[in-house]
Amino acid sequence: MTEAPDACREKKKKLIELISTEILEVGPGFDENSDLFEAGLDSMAIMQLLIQIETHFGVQLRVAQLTRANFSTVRQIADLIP
Amino acid sequence: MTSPAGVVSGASATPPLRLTGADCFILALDRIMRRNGQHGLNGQTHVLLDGAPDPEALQAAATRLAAAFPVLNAKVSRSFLTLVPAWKPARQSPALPVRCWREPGSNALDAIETPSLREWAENILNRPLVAREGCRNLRLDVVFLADGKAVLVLTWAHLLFDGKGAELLVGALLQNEPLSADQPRTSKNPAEAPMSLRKRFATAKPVVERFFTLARNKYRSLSGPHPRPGLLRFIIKKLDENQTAGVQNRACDFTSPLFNAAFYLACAARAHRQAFLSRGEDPPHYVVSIPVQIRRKGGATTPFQNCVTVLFFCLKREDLDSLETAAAAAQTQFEEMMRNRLDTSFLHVLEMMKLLPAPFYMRFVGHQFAGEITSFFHSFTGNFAVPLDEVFGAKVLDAHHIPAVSAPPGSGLFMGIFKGRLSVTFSWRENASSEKEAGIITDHLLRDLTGDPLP
Repeated sequence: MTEAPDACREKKKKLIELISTEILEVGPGFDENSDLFEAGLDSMAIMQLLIQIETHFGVQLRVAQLTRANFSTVRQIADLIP
Repeated sequence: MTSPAGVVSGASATPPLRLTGADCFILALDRIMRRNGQHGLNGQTHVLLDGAPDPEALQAAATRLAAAFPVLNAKVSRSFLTLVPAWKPARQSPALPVRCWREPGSNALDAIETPSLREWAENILNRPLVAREGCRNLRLDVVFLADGKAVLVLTWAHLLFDGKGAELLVGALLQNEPLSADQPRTSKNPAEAPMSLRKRFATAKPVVERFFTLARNKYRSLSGPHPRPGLLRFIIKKLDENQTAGVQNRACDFTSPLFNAAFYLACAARAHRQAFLSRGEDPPHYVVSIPVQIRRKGGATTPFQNCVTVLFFCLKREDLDSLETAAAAAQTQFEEMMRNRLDTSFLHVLEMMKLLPAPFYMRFVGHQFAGEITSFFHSFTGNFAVPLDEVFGAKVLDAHHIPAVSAPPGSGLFMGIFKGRLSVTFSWRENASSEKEAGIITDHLLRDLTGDPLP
């Protein structure tokens, strides 16, 4: 079953909000396609992001999902969240 | 630039440079070291160049740096009324002379001869940083090597900044990065927000409980619990790009592709265990504090302040039997501590302890942990914070840090990466460890890091 576009949009919006308020110092042009590693995402920041995802979306990601490709953009991370 | 209250601005900036909770911990440790003949908590950053840098350009940059950052020449004192420690500006304008040295065989003129870079560096680290001429908290030297290369050395008071801050200052010095007044502070220290005492205690509680748990464990350092004088020594090991890539792959295999600090910690703990075993000892626990950056990632930031919180790990002797079990134990604790927000909790503890004079810090340690701070110091700073290619006419070949350590614990293993090459610095104090143990520790560490048997 495909996800409703509104739900997907809301998920990305929430992720962008979490990242820009809690995790990274991002510029005004930051969006779902921005490269998170270029924006300064490192291992500690990823751990904080995982905790935020768990808190706000109730999802615990598996170790196998923790790859650089999966965390490169908000769009990629949103795909991990059911 | 000073504010009316006499507080020093970091980069002529507002808000004025405050001392963070981590700064105050460093202040306490620094004071205790001075009282015990250890000359304070200083560090060095070495930048290896392929030849001599342009002396005039370097001196001009140093002068510019000292003028832009009065904190380089400030000292810390406590307010008589509030007991809050603060930077106080010096009465005189700071100067930052670049001093030149040369190894035997170097053809550098106008430089003072010194037996070797290592001996020179140890000599500088084993004396007070305050010089008759120059800044109180930073000195700059160039050591010309026998092979024609040169090393630019920044010796810095840890009270100024952490290792990442030192890298940012290197960028400011060598790359003519802007030092204007609008350089923002982007550390995100939640403990600096106004908060009721009740809420602060509640936030601090998880880490206080962690301390009580740690105190029940039987761990010890190479120095033993009693502070005593001992010269600082160090040894550096460098890996090439291929070896470093191999280490990073192993780190991913042993932990996870995105968090591998636990791998480096596991290697460091197992290496220290070898030193204890060589003494015929095998302590049941290893307690290690890991500094964690709280500089907001991605934003421009001032180099100054120790912008870190600390996570306290405890590994059992059985955990260290294999690298797999050691890394797994460290990784599990890392995740648990992050989940319980011990990173934030410790910032609140530090904030509450700001008012305590140095002896109270150590009284707490003495009472709670039988005099031991940790089993050893350790940090992995990752990639160097600023790209350095060519500075003042010389090509940059390498860069790494040499942090000093206090006794206790008397030793520390520090790692970082510059241009794809991992460097390992083992620092220790005489009376705590020895050249022989340094060899045991670094050999075992390299074997665990690379997976290669010893040559």
